[in-house]
Amino acid sequence: MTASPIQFEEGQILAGVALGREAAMETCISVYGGLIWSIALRYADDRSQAEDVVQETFMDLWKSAGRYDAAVASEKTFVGLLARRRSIDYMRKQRRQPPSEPLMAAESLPEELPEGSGERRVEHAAVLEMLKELPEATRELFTLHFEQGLTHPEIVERTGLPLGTVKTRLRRGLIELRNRLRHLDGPHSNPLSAS
Amino acid sequence: MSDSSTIQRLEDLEAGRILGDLSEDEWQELEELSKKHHDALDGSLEWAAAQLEASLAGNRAAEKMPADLSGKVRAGTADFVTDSADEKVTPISAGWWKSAPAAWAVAAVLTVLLALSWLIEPETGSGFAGIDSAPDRIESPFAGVDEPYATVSGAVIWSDELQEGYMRLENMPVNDPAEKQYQLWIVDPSRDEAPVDGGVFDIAEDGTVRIPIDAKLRVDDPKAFLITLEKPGGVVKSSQDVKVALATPS
Repeated sequence: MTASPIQFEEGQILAGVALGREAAMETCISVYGGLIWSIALRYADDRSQAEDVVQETFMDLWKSAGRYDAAVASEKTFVGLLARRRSIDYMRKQRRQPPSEPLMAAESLPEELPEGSGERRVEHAAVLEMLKELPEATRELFTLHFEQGLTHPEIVERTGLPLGTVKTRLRRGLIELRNRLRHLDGPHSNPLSAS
Repeated sequence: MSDSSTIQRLEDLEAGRILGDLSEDEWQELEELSKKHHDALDGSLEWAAAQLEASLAGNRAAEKMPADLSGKVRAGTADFVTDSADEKVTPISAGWWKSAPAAWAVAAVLTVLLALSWLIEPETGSGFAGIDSAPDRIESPFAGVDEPYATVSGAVIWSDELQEGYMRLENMPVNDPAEKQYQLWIVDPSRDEAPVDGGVFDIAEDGTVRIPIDAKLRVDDPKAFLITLEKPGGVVKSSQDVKVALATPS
């Protein structure tokens, strides 16, 4: 495939990929390659592993782009979710203690809105607003991990916090954010339950 | 450990899995707990992390993949490319249509249909290989209806057997998704008097666009495909205040 100018805009790319459009795939690589690469680097032990993860993620993307629904998530969210899932699975296999089956199957990717759920897609600006309600210490760690792409050991080095504290704060922060997203979407809704 | 504290522990471990910080002991604990409480993990933490990642990623300068890696990824697309045309494809998402016991669409569409006497000849499509090669493929021209859409043209291509189709549209004005969105309706009197929601879509720029149809209900004998302009997200029942284009398969 030869390089071609970007002809698909964000929000249109995965639809084109699902239809097997070469230009859409090229645009997908250009637009989301950096995101996938940065997620892979965060989980992998080295760049070689990260490269494997990136290739696996894109293969997954070519196969599952048709499952993307703009009403459920932004393309960036969908791609990020896929990249994280591939990274975790890959690293688990590398450590030679694979679970008997993936904890979250590929079929559970967001696909359709459940009846009566209303809008589920959460705009990025709303997430950023929600972050302001979290404790400063949590926001700082989120920034280091999700925005700057630091691994846990790198966060320890940067902040001087014990590893256990970093892990605990990030985990609790993620659970708290999830709870707030649920509240935003309705107290009983589940973003992936339609799958 | 009580059920409540068990679930809390399970969520803590699941968060650790998503964040990539589980120890081997924790991995085993997670697998054991998730088998016993498989309904407790619903993917919402993974979802939240993806939302967070996507939101915060916008704040950082995009990191680029190494060039040689991009090349490897490109090489892997060969098995998935079905054509190399460069027309734009616009995604379509279903609105919230479920079922409405209304006859509004048939009456209104037929009214419009009678008023039309200048349907444009269809053009040959390419791509969408499965649909284009379907034995029962139908193609019907789109014609603009209300101003300023009178110059809209194109065609709808549909296969009853595949339950798939697409629209090829030309001269469709660009819309602001925050203000209005286009919505497709499929009229099939053989199934219901109410039209089937064919999805909400946007036109991002001038030129020819191809838009896959995503009919959420089965369509066996479509008599009309009508595009309307609606509020963002689409509507359950259109008032047809703005009729954009109509195609009427024979």
